[in-house]
Amino acid sequence: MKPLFADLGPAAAGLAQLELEVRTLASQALAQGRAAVVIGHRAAWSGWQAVPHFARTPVEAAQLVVGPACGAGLAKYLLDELPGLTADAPAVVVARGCDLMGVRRLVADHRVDADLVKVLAIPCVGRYDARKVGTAAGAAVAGRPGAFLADACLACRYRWPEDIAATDGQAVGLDLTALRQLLPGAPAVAAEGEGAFAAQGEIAAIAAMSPAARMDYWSNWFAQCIRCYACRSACPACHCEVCVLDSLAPAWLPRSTDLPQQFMFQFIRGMDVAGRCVGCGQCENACPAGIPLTQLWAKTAADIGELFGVTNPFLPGTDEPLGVFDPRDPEPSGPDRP
Amino acid sequence: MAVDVQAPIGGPSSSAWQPRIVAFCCNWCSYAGADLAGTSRISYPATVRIIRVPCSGRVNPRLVLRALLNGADAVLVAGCHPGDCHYGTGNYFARRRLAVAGRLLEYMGFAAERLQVTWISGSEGPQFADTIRQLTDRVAALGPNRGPGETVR
Repeated sequence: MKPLFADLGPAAAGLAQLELEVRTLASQALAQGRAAVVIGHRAAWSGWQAVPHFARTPVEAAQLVVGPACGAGLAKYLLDELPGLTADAPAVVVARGCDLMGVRRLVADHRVDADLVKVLAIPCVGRYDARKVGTAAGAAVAGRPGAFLADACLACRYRWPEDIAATDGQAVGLDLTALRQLLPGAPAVAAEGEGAFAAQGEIAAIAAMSPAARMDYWSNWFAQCIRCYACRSACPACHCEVCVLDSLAPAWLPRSTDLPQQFMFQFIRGMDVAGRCVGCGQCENACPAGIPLTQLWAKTAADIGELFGVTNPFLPGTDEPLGVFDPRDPEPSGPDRP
Repeated sequence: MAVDVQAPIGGPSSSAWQPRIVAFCCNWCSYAGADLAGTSRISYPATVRIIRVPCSGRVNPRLVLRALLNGADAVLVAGCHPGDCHYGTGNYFARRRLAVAGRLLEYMGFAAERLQVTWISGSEGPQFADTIRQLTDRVAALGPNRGPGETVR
């Protein structure tokens, strides 16, 4: 199997050490009965992919991996594990920043009891983007560490757990200098709740288009949508036990995939998550069509921040922005519209 | 662009095209205001189709988009003035929700003028008529809502 970290230059040693620590901590927790399950990733059939892993024994814990091959977000799996969790033996999530924010959202929504989950916060260099691996553009920069990492991850602000005031779990104490040097120009410090993706430049460009050009832009992307609902599955804010999109009576969303229905799907999901998005970027990660969903939800979160003076729209709090109001809220339309 | 309110309503490419406006009106204020405009025999363009809802807070943003995707050229959401909601707070939530929805619709490519939120009380018959008149003119200037792809009409 291809060494997972070979392309990461000096960060490879740091990641290898981190992996060893995670396996040790996980094995100990399981052996001592302090955890019912450790949720992380394990290596899969190629060196570029690590799949979600549910370690319930020390032997299984030895399979845990960290690093850029880890793709899928882990927070949603807590919903499947809930029946087996107790306060004495909770789930432990080997959490990158996006996973941590996902857990936070589930706990803030009272969907998962805070007693039933602990977070083992780890730093993250980003995940591999399959579309970059093996392409000519990828090969051209192959010598540079981070060449194959996803764009959303390159802009991530949740990279270092101590900067996002991680956790009620254990922080992994390692010398991570090499990891910090991996991506020149990458933000080393993230203000808590500032959001994983910083697609502001792209958003500004789209907002500057004419309405017709904007509609063309999104029509081209939404035409690629196959309505697999992977974005819904991956999103930690999307956890309704009965989803409106599955409703047949009334059929809020017909099953057809013509363009108006695609707009309807994305709009419904966007408005139902509005104010609750934690900026984890897993929707865009999960989309098999590569739709830049973070360009939509970062815009909505920014709007909420601007309209209602919410400092950190990505930060789960006791009140959701759309669940409260202020008598002095701005008018949605008319001459006073902001 | 003057709209002949007596002319038959044609489709988007018809020379007789008129805007089709869907108006969600809350039962207690804006619907009563619309009714008062009628009983007062105030004339306003026959471009609006009124849907009575208990409260502007009942209007789920997806209903706005659904109207736009199904042939509406504009959507008006009319409710009680903030502070006067029959249910106390419904219009406050509507105001927040529709502000966000309006921005998302605009970002997706719908002209901002195609969603209008206006507060009209039960005694404001003339204001209701004015609102419809002004919205009709604005939308007539914008042109038909083509929507994404071939909008089902």
